[in-house]
Amino acid sequence: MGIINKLSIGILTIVILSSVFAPLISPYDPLKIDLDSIKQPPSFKHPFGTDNKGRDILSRVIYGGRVSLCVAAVAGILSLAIGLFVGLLAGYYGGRLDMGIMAIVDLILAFPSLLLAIGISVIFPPGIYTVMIAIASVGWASFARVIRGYVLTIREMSFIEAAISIGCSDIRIILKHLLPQCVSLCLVFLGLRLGGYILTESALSFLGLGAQPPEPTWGSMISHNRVYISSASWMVFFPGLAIAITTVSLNIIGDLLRDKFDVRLKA
Amino acid sequence: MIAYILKRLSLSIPLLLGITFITFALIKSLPGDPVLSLVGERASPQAMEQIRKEIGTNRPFIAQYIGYLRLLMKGQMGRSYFTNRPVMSDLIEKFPNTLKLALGAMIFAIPIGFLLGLTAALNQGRWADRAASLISIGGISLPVFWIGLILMSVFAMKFRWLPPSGTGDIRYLILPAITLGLPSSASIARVARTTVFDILGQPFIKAVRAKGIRESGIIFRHVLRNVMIPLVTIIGLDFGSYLNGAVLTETIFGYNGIGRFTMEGIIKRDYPVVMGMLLFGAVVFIVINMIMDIIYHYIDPRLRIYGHNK
Repeated sequence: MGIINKLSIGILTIVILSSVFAPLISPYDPLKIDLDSIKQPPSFKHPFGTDNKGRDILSRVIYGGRVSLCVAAVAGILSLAIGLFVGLLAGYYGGRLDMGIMAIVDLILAFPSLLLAIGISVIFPPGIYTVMIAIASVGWASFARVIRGYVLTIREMSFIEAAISIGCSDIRIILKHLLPQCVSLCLVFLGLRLGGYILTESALSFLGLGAQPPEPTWGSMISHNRVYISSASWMVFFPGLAIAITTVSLNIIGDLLRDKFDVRLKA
Repeated sequence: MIAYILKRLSLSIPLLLGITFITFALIKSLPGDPVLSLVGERASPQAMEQIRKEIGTNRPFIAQYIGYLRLLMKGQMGRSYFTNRPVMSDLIEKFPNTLKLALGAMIFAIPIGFLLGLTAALNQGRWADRAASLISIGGISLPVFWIGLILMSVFAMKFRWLPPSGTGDIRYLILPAITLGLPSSASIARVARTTVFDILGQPFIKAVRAKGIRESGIIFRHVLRNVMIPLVTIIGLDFGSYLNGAVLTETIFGYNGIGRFTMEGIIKRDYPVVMGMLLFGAVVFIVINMIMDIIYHYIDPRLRIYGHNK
């Protein structure tokens, strides 16, 4: 699978770089309305064509990547932070605390995640912060579950027993002995999850719950342009292609990381 | 068996109570005064106080919550703010459509996912395996709403083989069912691949091989049987994800099911509808989990569910 792996790393690098340097590389202003060139098919001037208001789709896709990647990254880090904290506590202390926490985790995992995220994003005004909160408030549960399971196994190892026997405090054991053991697991799991977060972000934007117009996002571009699908299919095709290649590459890289670090993920 | 089902049902009551409480608290914490939107800006304070008393929003939170539970016990979920129809009757009308869609998606996803996974496992490391795993990664990664729109533009608008949207006979079901089933066929393929591969490595397969049974006999009589359990699990879990997917798929295809109903409720901020659907989603989940446990009992005699705990 050498070529496919390299290809996905390359694609992801391009997507990340083009989002970071969007103002430098995008050929047009993504918000600039140009009524002289509406619904133009892909050409040299507009590689991805233009939309119903004459805006350049390539530029909008590049700027949309900023939103998607940013939301997925923040949501991922938030989920990781909450899940790590909760998972360490539940795994280390066990008992009633563990039971209580895992009951909540199971409740969240049992529920259709998109519906839950939709439910949460209804409460707050739509926007990227709402999407981040919605994804993270569902996402932390799977992190907590994996980390708790891992902590349960390493807690029984002799180095933890040794640490307890020389009188280390609970906080010291958690921070200095358990936390470093969880780092590779956390990174691998984050890698496996990010693709899903991008999908959720684009689904929420598609449903109108994400970043609001005129700011372009991949999901909202598809949603607004879908009425033109039979006359100007590029308006829908390219934003979707951007989502597709990003999530496919992320998932391939996630699998690669998992195999490389050889962590057992029993979620 | 009946005792077991009753026990499971009683265990799910706290879960349901928790969900009703959360949805109720969420709705109550939303900004905006329903009385104000009912009577308009110019109503006198006395009239507003009167209406508050009538619909009971001046009561303490817990009393209102208990009132809501009473309503639910009567099998009602309130009325939509916009159509003024009971949420329950909309649900009864639309749920069969979503169920049809979900079944259609399963009919598409199970054979395809299973064959893909089986092919991959039997050709581990070869090109067929690589191709199958690439397809299944694609199925998990591609956005449902995009695939749906592309299928629609190709098969409904370009070739005009199938209707682009609406609800009706089986022709209206094909495109949405494929769209909805695609991600789950990918996850079924992944699970099938790893389990078939694990089973092929076990000693009893070696013993069967040593007896000289043909390879096809090994696959059909020994491997397939053991793959059933993880497969049922993943199919059950996917059924839940159909509720996710149904929101998107039904919105795209204009399909008259509960997914689109929920979505319209969200967009119009029609809270009784949103609350009712969240609660209904939880109920569906509990029921599916229970059905799965009962199926386990039949396909694997090792997992006796009554008699002892787990």
